[in-house]
Amino acid sequence: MAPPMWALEAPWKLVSWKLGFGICGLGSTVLFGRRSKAEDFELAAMPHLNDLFRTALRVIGNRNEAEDLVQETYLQAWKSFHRFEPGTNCRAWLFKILFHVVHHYRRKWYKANTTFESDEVLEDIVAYEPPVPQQLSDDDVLAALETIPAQYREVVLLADVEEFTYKEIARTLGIPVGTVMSRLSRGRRLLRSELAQFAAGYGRGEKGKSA
Amino acid sequence: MTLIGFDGGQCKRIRSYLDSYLNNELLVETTHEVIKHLESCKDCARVLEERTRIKDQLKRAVLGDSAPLELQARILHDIRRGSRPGFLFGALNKSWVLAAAAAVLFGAIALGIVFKSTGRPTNVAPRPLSLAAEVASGDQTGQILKVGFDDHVFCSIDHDMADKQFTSEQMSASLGPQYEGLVAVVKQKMPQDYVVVVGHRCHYLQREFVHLILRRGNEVVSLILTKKNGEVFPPGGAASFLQASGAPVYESAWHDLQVAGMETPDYLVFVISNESRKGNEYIADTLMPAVNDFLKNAAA
Repeated sequence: MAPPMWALEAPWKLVSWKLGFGICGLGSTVLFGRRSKAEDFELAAMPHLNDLFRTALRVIGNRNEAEDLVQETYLQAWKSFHRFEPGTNCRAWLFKILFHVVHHYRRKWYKANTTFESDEVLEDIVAYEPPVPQQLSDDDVLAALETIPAQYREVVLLADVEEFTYKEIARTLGIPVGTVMSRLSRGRRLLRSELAQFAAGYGRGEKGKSA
Repeated sequence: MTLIGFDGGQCKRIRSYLDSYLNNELLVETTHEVIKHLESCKDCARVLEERTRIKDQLKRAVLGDSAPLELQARILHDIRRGSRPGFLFGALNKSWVLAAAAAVLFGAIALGIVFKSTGRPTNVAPRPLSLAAEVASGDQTGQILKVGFDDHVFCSIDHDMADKQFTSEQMSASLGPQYEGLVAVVKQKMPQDYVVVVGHRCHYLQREFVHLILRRGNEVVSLILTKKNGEVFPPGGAASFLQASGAPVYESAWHDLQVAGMETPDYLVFVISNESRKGNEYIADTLMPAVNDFLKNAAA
């Protein structure tokens, strides 16, 4: 039997045509429509590529490695797309896979170099906050972010950049909501403290003197 | 530490609320308490302003990056080739892939300790041929030529379309009335031993291509047309061998594939083949003027 014309125009669709439209996340569109499983996946997952890449880049700190990890994330997602429930939050699902991939990778390659701090050691709060210079560049902020231990950096990125809720972050990272909140608080404080140190470089904001 | 103007207890408590205040997470009563305190405490107001500024700037700085197009292409390439199990993470959970793991191990040994020295992960997919063709960011001609090259690799090679044999009806149906006449033009111009095996429209990276594939034994030739998307070949740098009906032709080569390209007011036209450079130039010399005329007539 000759393949249908749409398969000639887009030969990769032959896969689902030959398989007789196997079970897919978006059932009815596949059974009766022309969209293949791959197209459903692309439509659902590809719009989040930039968010995933930016997060991976800031968590890992290396562009090539971030690219490879995001590619791996999409492959993992593609392999388990049949388990994805249509209508649920695809972005959160992808981030969960991303962090699974990132943590696995980091454990494997960066164990010796990654600074992990115990969550209990952080309650050395001093209410005084040294001033942060006004003219910080984006590079200053990113450089400061990079100095923060990974487990705090992740939470800051997910909360303050990607704007996930505490509950979503807890699910993404597999940690309790309380831990999310304490890491977030600690991470923000570390970032501010790091940025305040730029003040000296700019010749402003002497420490120990409040405004 | 000097705490000038710092009302220890009250300020400490208010500051512990500031991040939640910024995110509108506080109860109404607490929000009012924070607002009231901020009105009377310049130091806490300054802290709030700084936290707002840092949060905004962090977001802006991180969002300033976006995924490279190449990454998108790599992912789409993987997806469209179908599920490809065997990557490290998934594979380790399945005993039946023991053999695959052994193969990976063998590969890793064969590659020496490259990954160790570069710190790169071992689980990444090999870059497809089209993406492994490097084009410098300043090489505008190369970037345009790679548009055609990528479709040739994606369609003719990766999807084995060069091994297909379409009927005339299939070609006409896929090309549509606008382009079906192109097959006759190519057949007329090319020597008899080149057979047009495929004529269809295909898509790659959200772009549509009109794609004819010719075979002569193991030689595979693609004639590819695509509507311009703002691309203009830079002045100079055209190959001297041909002026296709007045349009200069540009050349490049990646791996063992030769690429020739020209532009019309609305289209980019490519000839890509695994022939020698001279062979590819001959085909481009034969086809491009005719294609140029075909497009001119179609536009008229």
